[in-house]
Parts: sequence; structure tokens; C-alpha cells
Amino acid sequence: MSQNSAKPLESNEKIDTQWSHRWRSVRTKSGALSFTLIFGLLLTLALIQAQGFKPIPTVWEGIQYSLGDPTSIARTLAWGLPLCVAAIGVALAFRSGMFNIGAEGQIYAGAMAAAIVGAYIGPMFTGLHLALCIIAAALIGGLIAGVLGWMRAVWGVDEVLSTLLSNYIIVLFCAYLATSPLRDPDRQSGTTKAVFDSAMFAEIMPKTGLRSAIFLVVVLCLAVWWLSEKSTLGYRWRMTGESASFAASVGINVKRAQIQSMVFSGALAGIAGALLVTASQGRYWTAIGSGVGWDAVLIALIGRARILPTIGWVLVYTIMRSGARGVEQVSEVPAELSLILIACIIIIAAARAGVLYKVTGIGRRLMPKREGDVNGMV
Amino acid sequence: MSQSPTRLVTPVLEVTGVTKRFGSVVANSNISFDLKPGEIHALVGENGAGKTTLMRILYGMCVRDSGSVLIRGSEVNFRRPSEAIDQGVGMVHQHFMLVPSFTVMENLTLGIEPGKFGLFDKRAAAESVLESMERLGIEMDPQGIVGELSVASQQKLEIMKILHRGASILIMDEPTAVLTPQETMELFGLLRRLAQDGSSIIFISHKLREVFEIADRITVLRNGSTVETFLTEGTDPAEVVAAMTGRDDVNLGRMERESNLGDVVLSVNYLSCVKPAHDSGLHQVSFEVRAGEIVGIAGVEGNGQSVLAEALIGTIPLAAGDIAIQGIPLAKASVSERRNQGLAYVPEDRQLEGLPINGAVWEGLVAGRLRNWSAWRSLANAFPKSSKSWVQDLISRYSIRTPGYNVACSSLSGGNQQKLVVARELEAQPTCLVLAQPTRGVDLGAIEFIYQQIIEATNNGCAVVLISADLDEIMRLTDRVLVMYGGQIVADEVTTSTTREQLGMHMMGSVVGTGAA
Amino acid sequence: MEWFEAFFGSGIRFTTPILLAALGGLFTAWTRDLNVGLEGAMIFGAFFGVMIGLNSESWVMAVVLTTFLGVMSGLIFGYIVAELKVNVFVAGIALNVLGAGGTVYLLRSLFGVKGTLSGESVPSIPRVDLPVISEIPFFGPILSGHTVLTYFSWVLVAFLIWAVHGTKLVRHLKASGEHPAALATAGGKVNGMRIFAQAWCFALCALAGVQLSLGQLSLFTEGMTSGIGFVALAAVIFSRGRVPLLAIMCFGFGLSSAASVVISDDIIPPQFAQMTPYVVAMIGLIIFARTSKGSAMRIATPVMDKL
Repeated sequence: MSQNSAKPLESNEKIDTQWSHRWRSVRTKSGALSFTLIFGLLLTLALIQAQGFKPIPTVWEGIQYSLGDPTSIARTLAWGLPLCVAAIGVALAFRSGMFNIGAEGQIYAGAMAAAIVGAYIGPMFTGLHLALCIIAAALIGGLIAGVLGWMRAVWGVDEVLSTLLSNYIIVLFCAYLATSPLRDPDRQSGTTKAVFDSAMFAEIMPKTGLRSAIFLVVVLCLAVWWLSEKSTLGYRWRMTGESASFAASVGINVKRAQIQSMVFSGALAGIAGALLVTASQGRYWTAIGSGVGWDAVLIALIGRARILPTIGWVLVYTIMRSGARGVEQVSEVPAELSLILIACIIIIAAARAGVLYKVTGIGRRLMPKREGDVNGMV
Repeated sequence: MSQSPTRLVTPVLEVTGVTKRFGSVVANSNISFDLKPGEIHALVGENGAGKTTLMRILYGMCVRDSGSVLIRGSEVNFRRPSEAIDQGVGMVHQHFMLVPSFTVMENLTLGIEPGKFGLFDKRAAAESVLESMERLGIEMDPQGIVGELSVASQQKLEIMKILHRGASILIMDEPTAVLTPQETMELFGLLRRLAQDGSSIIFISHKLREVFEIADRITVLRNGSTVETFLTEGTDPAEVVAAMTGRDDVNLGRMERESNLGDVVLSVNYLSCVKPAHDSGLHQVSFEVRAGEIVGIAGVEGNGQSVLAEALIGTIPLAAGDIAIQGIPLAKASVSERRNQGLAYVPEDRQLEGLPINGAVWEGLVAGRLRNWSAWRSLANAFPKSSKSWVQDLISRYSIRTPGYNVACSSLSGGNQQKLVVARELEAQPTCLVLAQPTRGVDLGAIEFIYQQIIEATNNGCAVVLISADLDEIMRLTDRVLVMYGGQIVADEVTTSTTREQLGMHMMGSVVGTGAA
Repeated sequence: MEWFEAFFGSGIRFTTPILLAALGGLFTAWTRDLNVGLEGAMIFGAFFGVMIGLNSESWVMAVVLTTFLGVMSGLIFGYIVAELKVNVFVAGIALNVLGAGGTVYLLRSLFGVKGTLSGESVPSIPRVDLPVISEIPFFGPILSGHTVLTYFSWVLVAFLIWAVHGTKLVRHLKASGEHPAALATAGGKVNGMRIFAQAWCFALCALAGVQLSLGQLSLFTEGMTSGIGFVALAAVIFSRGRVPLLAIMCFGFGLSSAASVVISDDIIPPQFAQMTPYVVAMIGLIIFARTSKGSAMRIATPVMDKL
């Protein structure tokens, strides 16, 4: 431990230890992942058993439903598209230290914007119409999140509460729009006019709901990954999120980084909302969001706000959710099973270090410390 | 010369062969020393030598793996601090264990509040507190809010806390780090009084000058083991340092260098800043630094040094006044613009401000290179191949011990973290370098290295501002020294023409001889 | 004056769940383990209140058992946060999702019902007519005729105002949040305090939920808490941990919730009236931020790497 004879590591030595360090971290992470997934599986089996159904065949049915054949896979993927976009948007903001819990509201706003542009403007060439819908949704989502981000950056308004409250305000406002001025007279209250066909993504596989929007989503994922993890802009955002004082000290414009990341985050959430309309429902209705925003927040947390793990967890969750529907069809176990699972998974993933320590006494250094915990005294 | 007891007295505390491991790291290995009644015994060692772990074992925050600890002849094995305090062992921590929003009385009685069935009998508490204060001869307002007390008073409160509970063995962890020379004298007076009245004191410090002043014996730790126990009268600082570092070539005196002063680089005029929460505001601060010069800013923390550092780099706005680098006014410039003019900054809290502590080493190093990339370039790769080799080169040139540039900064030792910050800042070839408490918590080897780097920078014409609460550092390194008190410059002296005592008087606010500019 | 009575009467009624939840969250604010999952705890309380009420046909059993379940859950939650070191913000968000999904799951699997669980045998918490007070002109009818839980919440406020300075417990709770090391070295039990605070929080949120389901409507609807938990959270933050201020803020939110009841649909569409409490909270948030100096109570969001 003596640093007196400080000499740089020899170059060969350095590469070896750098790789062994990487290997160790990969092993730890895959260990953590398996631990979590196995726990999830056990919980599922227990819940199904508790309802009085045979666990393993039921789960197998669920897996068949979600992944059994190309139709199922397409259907599963289709469900996951809006969530994916929203989750990477939320992750982007989290990375910058901005806890955008308002994804739900931004999704609703984006859906409403897309529904309006899709139904009241046009019809026109599909590509253009879709582009307008998407852009409108991105603008409105970005604007909302940007304002909330500005309030945090300049006025110090805690964005957790402000984004939380904004959810309710926005959803209520959209509900007003859908029940009065923009209501479709031929349908029940709370639904807007159907959008023109030119404002809908084309179906790739009939009867699965999988539309060409998947290409857009893939492009967005790549773009956001590059932005967050590789680009210089992403570097500034990450440093702002890691330590705002460090970022300020080295000359990063912290306020600008905070607002920028929120704008992008809201824009992505808005786009997710647009997808709900243009790649799925065809119109806005009051329960269109149905918790996608909350799922996005949870997944971004599980994925620790890193883009690739977040996308991975979106896939896992989508399969879980799809599987839960399958389970519901063959048993009486409600599909909300997936919600229970994902909430428990995040707890168990976060508790893993603690459980390990309790059980084996090792890994004390992995344990997170609290503020005020000087020298790890508590 | 090692220990030669002149008379045999039963030690009040005896540590024999204590070992403690944390995973693969051996923090304490076969440690042995003893404490006599009424003695002040110093424990010295570099950062990472194992002092903290040993103290935590003695105080009950940590359980030893092997060895024995005897208090007044009987074996003890504390599992929690309350057991230690019951046996009369009390610790005065470096970072005070005081709840800032509570009153003096509430802090003193925390954990031993009088009252039945969960009720808090405030009257009984106040009575016992006043009684304790009288007995110990320390005066303080029991209803005063602790957060508003001066640092020296808070420390007295810490001491009072453990004496109030009947501690007779006191462990003091770096107590003088936050005191002026005069406050240190006061503290030493109190400690001697307590020793005379029968308390035994373990005094942890890395300031050898003070250790030699107050301690009866000195035990040196290095790399987790006891090296030797010296009788203070029978040894000298050079011998102790040799034991601490294992080298005999450590220079503790003034660092000599060629002084080629150029034109004025940094010019600060009537700088004023609004007072923030935990520091003093700045009031009409003015000074100049020339190329190749090292100007020290001395003073006890809380007198505006942190605010000055932040005002210079630009993370807080100025209320009045001006800053100029090579004639270019920068009072309204952003941090980025100031850095473009050649300003570099090594902040006092490296883990919060100097580095992204959970981020990668390369992320901590490339900040300067990326600063001016804007618009399209912002979308480009932040860490291309060219940067990779640059970072590699930096790591080897500054002897930063790290498994690679992708590891988290938190896995580096304090000294290596600081070297990382210094590397980044110096690579920008600054014209003006501001350092705040640069060697705090850094081992001697890294300290030497950092000093060399600073001197080399001055040889290249850099103007250096060194803000430090460590007077020894100021005396060793600087050409001129300014003292800050209450947000103002109260002294401006040539380092070699002044003494620690004189500087100490200025740090206390007593005006001696020449005043501020 | 009917309008006045309706408004203030409703205001007091709406205040109760917010106040109970906020008083629960207050302890977690003191221990700096701010529980953002008040919403989730409340909806569980609402559900179990109705479920136990249906099975036992007694509101007393419902209240007592639900509270007991709340305490147990709080202990588990506290253990997860304090001993297993799960970040309390993450745990709170998970709790909210678990609450929303879990209550729907239980509604469907235990009762085979979608949407609302109601019935004649769902007991309701009786209203109490206070003997002397109901005679007072003007204020009488407003203050009297509320449920037991409402009056309990008032008593609790008074008790806590005293307890802040009169008990060791509150000292230790605050110390465990503000400077845990100081409490630990003084011989206090930091994790014990943290776990206790969570148990208290869950217990009160359970009561808040029961008040909502049995006390006001005698039924359970999916999502019936509709953000009240977050409004209570806002109140806790605005009050900076002080009980009298907390009570006043909760009452303010209660009144703004009552606005949606009193303002008829002709004046403004119902959705805007329903927005009132959230808008008020938002405005309060802005004022709070602009008037805070430095150490405002920031929600303990996690550092992403150390999850």
C-alpha cells in the first residue's frame, strides 16, 4: 500500500490488469443479472401457484405467447416500441442528474399532439404526415420538460416533485381536450377523432400490430446511445449528472447541460406518445398512456440510466408483460403480474449488494454510503 | 533512540499484536504500543499507515481480528462505541460528531438524555450540563446552536462531550488541522491540564512540529505496522520522518528554486463577494501575482479562502471588483472563458469538484481537451484514439498508479487522485494556477511530486496562487504570503522575512506591523 | 352560506388523508430517508381497508388490521432501506408501481372485479357529532360530523408539536438523519431510528388510505389515490420538517381539493377544478425554491453508479 515508490505500471502490466479488471466487472454484472432473473422466475412461479394453477406449464404458456412463433415475437416487439423510446429518454435525463419523473405526462402530451396533427391536418404524403406528427410530439414533450428543467436549473425547483405534479396536470388537461373541444362526436367521451391513414405507420406483419415504426425506434436507440455514451455533448451531460461542481469547475455550462438533457428527454417521451397514436391506437383516448411513463422510469432506474442496459431491460420487461398476458389467457392470474415482477426485480437488484454482505460478510466495500456517514461509521 | 522507561508504571492502555484485515487489504499488522496514565502519546504516520483503523478498533467502531487490548490490566474487545465509553475511552473526531441544528445542551446529552419513558427532561439535562462545564472549566451557552459556533469552540464541545461521560482515555484525531497557531496553544494548554488531572491522551497528527511540542512519547506507524516508539526528548523530527517514510532523504525545509519573476499575470482588485452559507464573504480583496511567483494565501478555513478560490475560477459571481489575467478583465467571464485565458484550478475538494469520483479516470483527464468543442463537434466521439494515447502518456508522466484509464476514479488512492487533478490542470500549460489545499490527505511521496510539478510550472512562467491552511506548506513553498481573516487580506509579507508566529497573529485577526494592501 | 359550509366541510374531509400521509412522511424526512412511495402505501391501505372491512363487516377491524399490516410492511421496507442499503428513492418508486399494479392484481384475483370494489356490506367509518362543538354557530357544522380518523389526525398534530421538544425519540430521529455518525458514536441506534420512521410512515399512510376508501366513499377504485401521496410529499418538503407548518399546508391542499367539488361544471370544466391541488403544489414548489437559501430539502435521488 505504500505509495512512496510511485512508478508507473509497465505497459504490459497495465494492459493485463486493465483487462482483468474488465473481466471481473463483466462477471460481477452477469452474476447480478442472473441472480435477479432467477429471483423473478421464482416469484412468478410462487404467485401462479398461489392462485391454484400449475406454475411451470402456465409459465411455459406465457413464454409461448410472447416468443413462441414469429407472430408472437412481432406482437411482443410492437408493444415494446413506445416503452423503449420513453425509457431511453428518461435514462438520458437521469444520466445528467435530472430526474425526469414526468415521462407519463410528456407521453400523453405527445400523443395528443400527434393525434391533433394526424387528424386535423392533411391527408398528405405519409412520410411527411408522420414526420409532422412526430415532430409535433417531440416539440411539445421537449417544451414541457425543458420548462421544468429550466425551473430546476435557474430557480432551483426540485425537478422530481415538479415533474411528478406536471403529470397530473397534463393528463387532466388532455382529458379535458378529449372530452370537450376535440372530442370525436361518434365515439364515447374522452376519445378524439381518428387520424388519417396517412398518419399511421405501415403494418409490417398483419395482425401483430408491428409497424414500420420499429425502424424509427432502432434509429433512435442508436442515436441516443451515441449521444449519451460516446459524444462530447453526452460527456458534458454525464459529468453534470456525476458531479455538478466538477462540471462547473472544468468549464462545462451546467445549466445549459441540464436544460438540454431535459429537452431531449421530453422530446423522446413525446415521440413515444406519438407512437402510441400513430403506430397503435390511431387516435387519442384518455387511458392511452396506461402507465408506460412509470414503467419507463422504473426501467431506466434498473438499467442505471445506461442506454444499452436500459434497452436490454425494456426487452426483458416487454417479454415479461407479453408473457403475463399469455398467462392470463390460460389461467386467472391477472396480467398485472408483470408490474409486480418488475417492481420486485428492481428492489432485489438494488438489494443484491446488501443481501450478499449480510449472508457472506464480504463485499462491505460494495455497500453504498449515506450522506453524513463519515468514515463509513454507520 | 527507542523507548527506555525510567520507571515502571502499569500502562492504562496496552495494545499488543493487533491485526485487522479488510478483504485482501491488511490495515493493521501486529501493532503494539502502550499508554501510561497522565501521558500524552502521539501516533504518527502517513496517510494509509493504519492510524485510523487502529483508533476505530480502540474506540469500538471496528473489531480486531487478533491481538489483545488491555485497559487497566483487563482485556477488552469493544463491539460498539458505547462499550468503549463505558470503559472510559472517548474519541474526539477530526470531523466533529455534532448535530449542527441542535443546541449545545442537546448535543452534550445525545444518547444519555435524562428522563423516563422516553420523555426528555430538559431541566435535568441543563443542570447536568452546567455542572459539567463548571467542573471542567469550560464556558459555553447551553442554548447556543452548535452550527453557529466557531470551529475551536465546537472542538472544545467535542472534548467536553466525552469528559461529560467520564472518559479518562482521550483519543484525539488530527485536532489541530482546523485551528490557528494561537488556538492550538489554547488546546495544548487544556490537554496538559487534563493530563495533569489524570487523563491519558493519544494524539494523532501528521504535524511533527506540534507533536514534538505536546507529546511525551511518539509511536510511528508505517504500512500498517508499528515501526518504533520514541521518547520525544530523545529524538528529532528527521529521525521520526525517516521512520514514517522508510527513507532518509525527505526534505522538510524550504524548497529552494530559482526565482525569475516576470510581469504581473494575475491582478485582483477590490474583489467583493456575498457571504455564502458556510464561509465568510469577501471584502475588497486586492493582490497581484507575477509570472514565476508563488503567492500563498494563509488563514484558518472559514475566513473566505474557499470563496476566493471560487471567485477566481468563476463558479460564483462577484458582487464588486475585478479580476484580470495578463490585463484582460475577467470579472464577468464564465469558467470556460477564464480557462481559455490560461487559468487553471486545483479545487480543495478533489472528490467533489476535482474529479468525477464515480466516473472513469479518462473522464477526469480529458475535460480540458473537450472544453471548446461546440456545435457539430459536440456530437463527435469524446474519447477518440488520439485522446487515448494522450491519456496513457499523461498517466505515465505523472506516475499515476492505476490499473487503466477505464477504472473509476474512486479506486485510486488520495494521492493518485490529486496527481490526476494536477496532471489535467498543468497539461493545459496555464499562465495562472490556483490551488486550494492541494496536499490535504495526500501521502508524502505524492506531496513531493506535486510540489515539483508546481515549481516546474513556475519555471515556465506560470503564476501560482496557493491557498493553504497548512502554515508549514506555505513556509516551504511560497515567495510571498497573504493572510486572510474575515474575508479580507490582513497581511502581505515576504515569506522568508516573516515567522509562523507573526502569521498566526494575523490569522487570529490581531494586527501586527504591516497591514493589508 | 351553504357554499361556505360545503367548501370548508369538504376541505377538512379532503385534508385528512393528505395530513395523515404527510405526518407519516414527516418522520422519514427527519431521518433523511424521504419515502416517495406514500402513494403506493396509501393505495394498499385503501384496498386492504375495504377487503378486511368486507370480510369482517367491522370498520374497527379494518382500521386496526390495516394499520397493523402497514406497520409490518414498514418494518420490511425499513429493513430493505437501512440494512440492505437499497436507495430509498428507488424503493419508493418501486413501491408506487407495486401499489398500482398490486392492488389491481389483488382486485382481479381475489374478487374477480375490474375497476371498483363496492357493496352493501362494505362498512364505513361512522361520522361523529361532537356534542358541544356542533352547537357553535357558523363553525359548528363545519367542525363537527367528521370521521374518527379526522379527529385522530388533529390530536396527532397536537401530540407531535409537543413531542418534538419533549421526547428523546424525536431528537434521535432528527440526529439519525442530520448526522448519523454523531448519533452512532453517542450510543444511539441509527438504523433502528430509520426503520422505525418507515414503520410509522406506512402505518399512517395505511390509515390515510382507509380514510379514503372506507371513510369517504365506502368502496375501492383502481387508482383512487390519484396523486394525493405526492401532494402530501410536497407538503412535507415545504414545511421543512416543522409540524405546525405541515398541518397548515395540508389544510391548504385539502381546501384546493375541495374546490373541485364546490365549483360546478358550468363555470369551468371539471378537469380544471381537479387540477387545483396540483397547481397549488406546483406554485408552492416554485415559491419554496425561490425563497430557500442553500440547504433546501432535496429529494434523495440516487447517484446512478452506486445503485
